[in-house]
Amino acid sequence: VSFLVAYSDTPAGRDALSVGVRYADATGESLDIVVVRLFERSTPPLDGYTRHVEAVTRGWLDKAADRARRVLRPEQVRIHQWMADSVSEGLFDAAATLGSSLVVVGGANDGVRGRLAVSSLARVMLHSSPVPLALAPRRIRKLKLSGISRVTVALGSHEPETVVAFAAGLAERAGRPARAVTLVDPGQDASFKPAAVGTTVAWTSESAPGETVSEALAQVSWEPSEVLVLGSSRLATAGRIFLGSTAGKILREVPVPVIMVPLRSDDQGDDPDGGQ
Amino acid sequence: MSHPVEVTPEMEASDSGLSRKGLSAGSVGLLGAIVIGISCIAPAYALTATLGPTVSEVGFQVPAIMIVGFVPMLLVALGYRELNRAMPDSGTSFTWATRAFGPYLGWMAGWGLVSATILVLSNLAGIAVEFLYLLVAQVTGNAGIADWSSNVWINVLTCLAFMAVATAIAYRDMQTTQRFQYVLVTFQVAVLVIFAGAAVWRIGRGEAFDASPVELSWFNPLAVESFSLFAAGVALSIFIFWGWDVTLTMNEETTNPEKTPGRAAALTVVIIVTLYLLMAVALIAFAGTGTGELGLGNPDIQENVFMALAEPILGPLALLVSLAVLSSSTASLQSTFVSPARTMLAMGHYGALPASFARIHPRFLTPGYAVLVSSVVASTFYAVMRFISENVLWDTITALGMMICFYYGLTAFASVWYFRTQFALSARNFVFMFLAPLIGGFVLLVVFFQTLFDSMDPDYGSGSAVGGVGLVFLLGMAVLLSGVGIMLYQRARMPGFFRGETITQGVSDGQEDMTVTLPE
Repeated sequence: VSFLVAYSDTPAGRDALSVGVRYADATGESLDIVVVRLFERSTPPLDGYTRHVEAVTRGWLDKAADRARRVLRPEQVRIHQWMADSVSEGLFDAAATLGSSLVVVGGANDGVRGRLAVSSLARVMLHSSPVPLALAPRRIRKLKLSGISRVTVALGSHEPETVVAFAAGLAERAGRPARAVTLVDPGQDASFKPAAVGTTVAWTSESAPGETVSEALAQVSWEPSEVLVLGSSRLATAGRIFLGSTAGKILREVPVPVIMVPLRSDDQGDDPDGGQ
Repeated sequence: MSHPVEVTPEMEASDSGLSRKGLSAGSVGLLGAIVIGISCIAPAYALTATLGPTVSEVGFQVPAIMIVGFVPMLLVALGYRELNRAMPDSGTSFTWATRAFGPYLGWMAGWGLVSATILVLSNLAGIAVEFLYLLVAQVTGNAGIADWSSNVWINVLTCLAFMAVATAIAYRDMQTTQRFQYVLVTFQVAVLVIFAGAAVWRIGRGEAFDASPVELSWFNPLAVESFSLFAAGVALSIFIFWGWDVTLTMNEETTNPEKTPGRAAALTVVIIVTLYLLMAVALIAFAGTGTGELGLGNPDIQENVFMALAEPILGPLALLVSLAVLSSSTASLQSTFVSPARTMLAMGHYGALPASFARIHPRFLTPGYAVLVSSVVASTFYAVMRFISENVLWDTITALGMMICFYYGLTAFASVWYFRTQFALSARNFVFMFLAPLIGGFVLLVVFFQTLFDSMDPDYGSGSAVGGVGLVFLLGMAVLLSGVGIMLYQRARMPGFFRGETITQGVSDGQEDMTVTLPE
C-alpha cells in the first residue's frame, strides 16, 4: 500500500503534497506523486505538443519529488504521469493500479485560509471515490508541521466499523493515540468502546454536545498535526465515498486535514448524521 | 480508459523524462482519427463560407477546382508528415522552417500559421453568429431575428461572446467526450448528404431556382477562364481542406503509429472530397452561378450560401442545416484555438516570442497564455473588420487562403531543404521528402503571389477597397508586414533566438532530430 498525492504545480497541489509527505513520514508508507493528464478527444493530438507537456509535467514532478525527499527516504517517493479522460477517473485508476490506501487532494483556491475549501475535483471525488480521501486545508503547507500527532474519528450514534478501523489502523502505523469524538444532542453523553477495535492504540473518548454541528465542534480542541477521519453518508453506494450533510458541515469547520472513508456494505452508514 | 505513463526516477537525464510507452490505452483508433480529422476540417462550415466566393471566381468549375486544390495540399502534407516524424515538435512549421532556413524564415512561417489560424477563428465565430440567429429565427418562427446578425453591434457582441466561451473551453481543456464528438460529426455529414439529396430532388421536380444541368466541363480545371481565377480558386479550395493534415501529425497517439495516420488521412479525404463534390454539384445544379436571388453568384448571399439556400431547398428541415453549421463551427473553434496556441508555445519556448507564451497552465495543462492572446487578437480583428467592411467574412476567407499558401509553401520547401541529404537514398525518400513537397510548395507559392498581385485590384474578392487598393491585398500585406515588424522588435528585445542559440540551422541525418526537443 501507499499514499497517493493528486499533484499539480499549484498552491493546492503543494498543500496536498505537504499532507501526503507528513502521513508517509508518520507511517513509513511510500508516496506516489501523480499528475493526471487528459487524453485529447476533441482537439487533434500532436506528437510534439504532447511531448512538450510531458516534459513540463516531468519538471514539476521532479521538483515535487525533491521536496518530498527532504523528509522521506528517496526510495519512498515515486512520481507518475497518468493519462485519463478526467482527473478523478485518472486518480481512481492510479490508486487502484498502485494499490493506494489513501488519496490526498488539495482544496479550492478561494477558500478561507487554514480551512478546507472543496474544489470541483474534490467535490467529484467526495461523491464517488472508492479509496479513502484526504483533503488538505488551504495553506497548510505553510504551517511547517510534521507527522501525525493524533488521529480523531468523529462519530454519531453508530460506530461504523470501517471508519473506526481505518482510524485505528492509521494511529497504529503512526504510533500515535486515537480519539473518538461523538457528536450528541445537548445533555447526552456518548460511550465509545475502543475495546471493540482490537488494536494496541491508546484511545480517548469525548462527547461534543450541541444543537448544531458548529456548536458541537466548538467544544472540540484540535492539535495542529491532528487528522480527522469521517465516514460516508448512508446514501453512499457500497465501497464508495458519499459526503453526507453532517460530514459536509464538519469539513467546513475543522482546521485539520479530513479523511473521508468509504463504507463497506455491512457498515451502518453515516454516523454523524445519525446522531444529529 | 486511463493509463499510466511511468516516469521513474532512474531515468537518465538525457532521456529528459519523455516516456512514449503506455499511451495505448487511450490512444486514437482509425475511426477516432477520422472523426478528429473531419471535425477539424468542419466541412459544413467550410462549404458555406467558401462556395460563394469560389463560384464567383471559377463559375461552374467549382468541382474541378476542389479536386485540383486538394493536390498541392496532399503534396505538401506528405512533406509535412516527414518533418513531423523527424522533428515532432509543438512548433510544427515554425520549428521546421527555422531548422531548415534559419530564424527569420522560420519566424515568418510561424507567423503565417498563427495569423492564418487567428483569421479563421474570427471567420468561424462570424459564421457561427449568423447561424445562431438564423436558428433562433427558425425555432421561434420569427424570421426577423435572422436579420439581427446584420446589425453590427449585435453581431460583434455575439461574436465576442462566442469567442469568450470557446476561449474558456480551450483554456480549461474541457474536452468533449469521444462519443459526443462522433455524434456531432455524424450529424454534420448526414445533414450535408440530406441537403444535397433534397436539392437533387427539387431539381427533379422542376423546382430548382436556376436549374443547370450537370456537365462534364464542371470537372475540367482547364475550363477556368484565366490563371488569376484559377489561382484564386485554388487558394480557396486549399482552405476547405485545411485541417486535414492533423490526421498525419498524431502518430504517437494512435493505436498503430505505422498505419493508422496514413489510413485515417486517406479515408478522411475520400469522405471529404465526396461530400464536397456532392454538395457543390447539387447546389450549383439547383441554384446556378447567376447573380439572381438564390444564384451562387449573388454577392449578397455569397459569403454564407447555406443560410440563403437551406430554406428554399429543405423547407422546414432547414433547421438541420443551421444546427449542423453551428455545431461544426463551434466544435471547430475549439480545435482551431489550440493550433496557434501550440505554435506560440513553441515560439515562446525557443525565445522567438516572450517567455510567457511558453507557459503551460499548471492546473489545466494548456498553453493558457497563448490561448488568451489568440483570443484577444482574433476578437479584436473581427470587431475592427466588421466595422470596416460589410463583407468581412468573404475578405477574411480570401486573405486566409493566401496566408495558408504562404506558410504551407514555406513548410514544403523546408522539407525539401532539410532532407537534402536524405532524398537520394531511396525512391520513397525521393518522393515524400523532395518531389511531392517541391511541387506542392511551388504551386502554393505561385498561387500566393498570383493572389497577392491580383488582390491589389479594388474589385477583387468582395470588392471592398480602402484608398483604391483591394482590401484583401491590404489585409494580406498588413498581416505579413506586422509579422516582420514584430519579428524585428523581438530580435531587438531577445536576440538569442535570432542568433541561433536555441534552434540551430541544420540538415537531416536520417534520424529523429534531437536538437529541437529541448528539455526544460
